[in-house]
Amino acid sequence: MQDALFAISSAWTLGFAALAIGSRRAFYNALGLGFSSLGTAALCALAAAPLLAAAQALVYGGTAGLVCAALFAALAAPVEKGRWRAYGAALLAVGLFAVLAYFLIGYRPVGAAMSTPVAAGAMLFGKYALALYMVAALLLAAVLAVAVLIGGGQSAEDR
Amino acid sequence: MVAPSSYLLVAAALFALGVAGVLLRRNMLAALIALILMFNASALVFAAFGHLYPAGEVLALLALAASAAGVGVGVALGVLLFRRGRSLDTGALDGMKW
Repeated sequence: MQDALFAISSAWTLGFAALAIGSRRAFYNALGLGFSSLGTAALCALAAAPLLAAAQALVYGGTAGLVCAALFAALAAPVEKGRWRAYGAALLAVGLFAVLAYFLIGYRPVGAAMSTPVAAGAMLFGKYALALYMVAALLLAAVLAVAVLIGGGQSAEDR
Repeated sequence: MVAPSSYLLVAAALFALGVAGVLLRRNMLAALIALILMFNASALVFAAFGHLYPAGEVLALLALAASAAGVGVGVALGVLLFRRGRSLDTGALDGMKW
């Protein structure tokens, strides 16, 4: 069963990564990235790294979702007409839910050396606390840089 | 249990796709997305060997945060460039060319 899940997740990840790279439309690029990141999260969960999987899904899946929403709003993409598309989307959603439900309910840690979120958190705030604070400072610097870049560009344009 | 070599294979394919995207795509947004795919591949390698090296998951988390910071600044630069030139074509960025 693990092998089948691994094969499905791998195909999912690589297929959507190809979409993210190959498509000429920015919306499909972002969509491909989001789904590919979710596939990577599934692979991480299969490799008994649940905390990393959750972080991966939240950070990159969420980011790509937000980018998709922004692009969708910015481009005001017209809604496709036709019933078969709606049925197809509903079928895809139900199928995805079934796979996820099976995966989450049937999820069992692989091997005794699985890293639990508590152990990873203890390690993060213990032995690797300095690295954590350095990354936190880096993120703060990045946020400030984004604010300065966007704000500076806006004010220069206004002038 | 799935063999770590299988994870390495998938990670290598993902990384190769990312490299191809960075090299071939001229759209800055697509290049950033390709960069994220490469980060994903590295996280996958860390996860695959997590049972051998438990700190790998922690390091992957730190790398995830650092890459998110980098990508955030990259997207901000892209927004800035689009405001100035109405284009995200990296081929047109020759202001710092020597």
